[in-house]
Amino acid sequence: MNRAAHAQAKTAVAAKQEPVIVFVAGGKEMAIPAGAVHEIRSTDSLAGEAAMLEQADFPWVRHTIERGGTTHYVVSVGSFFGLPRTRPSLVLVLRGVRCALLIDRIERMDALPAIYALPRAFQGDERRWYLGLALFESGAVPMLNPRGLLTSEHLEQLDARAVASLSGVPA
Amino acid sequence: MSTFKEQAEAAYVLLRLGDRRFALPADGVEELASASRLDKFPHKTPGVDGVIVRRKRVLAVRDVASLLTGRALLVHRFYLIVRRRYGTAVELEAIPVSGDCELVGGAVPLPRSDDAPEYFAGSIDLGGDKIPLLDIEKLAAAAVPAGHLAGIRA
Repeated sequence: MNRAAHAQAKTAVAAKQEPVIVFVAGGKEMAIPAGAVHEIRSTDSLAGEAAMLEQADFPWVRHTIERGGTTHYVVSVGSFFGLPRTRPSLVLVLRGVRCALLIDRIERMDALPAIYALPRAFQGDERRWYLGLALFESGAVPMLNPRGLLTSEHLEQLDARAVASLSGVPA
Repeated sequence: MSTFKEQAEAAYVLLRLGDRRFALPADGVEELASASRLDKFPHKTPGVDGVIVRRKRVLAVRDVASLLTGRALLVHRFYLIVRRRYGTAVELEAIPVSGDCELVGGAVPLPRSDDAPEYFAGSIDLGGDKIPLLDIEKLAAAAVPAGHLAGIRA
């Protein structure tokens, strides 16, 4: 067999230990680089800050929060992925993107020597959603791409709906 | 478990999906592996069930039974590890199979009939039984019923 070619299949990136947050959403374990998370808040503590967003096109976005003068859209991770409905209790406000993640709970913090590339067999939107796969003793866990769930197009559309929601005019 | 490449004279690997048998060219098969834990996560690629970890590699698990037999395997004992081409790169993928696989040599390949799906490269004759010969690349590219999308947001 062609070992050089197979070496590509084994792709693992990042030689240094990458700190990650492993969380549960919709009953499913996922991970995100710890450096991508700016703030961790309970849903209770955010209750006074979050604003409802009335729109139907992105049913996994029901709330917004303001940070640094910009609107962050709160993505229900379980709803986004069509996972079983659960009771989320935490919000991860992400750094450098206008997105926050509504999750069930944080499972643990961990450090990884490598993130494995998503096999090429996966050819759908998951290539945007995930940075790759993290391998733990419990199995392979998808590593969320902080910029993967809401694209710039999504943000533009959400901005339009947010404005419409405020003015009471459908977007 | 021995690898198929150790027996270079072998021409085809026979695999079983439910009660049906299919063949693959042996040079596209890496090994037969016992069933291991399947890790699933949300995705939108039809025909891919999840991943397994084998020798520190992450391998996609491809359900070909749904397309070939009309139903996914509820129970499988092994994964047949096959090579897939993506441009110049080669990646290993795992195909759940029902039981032991068999190497056969010397079988004469028969051409594909006009009405056969493109993912059949033809067939081989084994003692009068015509065993469909699979083209793994075309099989992977073939559409699968929408109901088999990984249960994830469409």
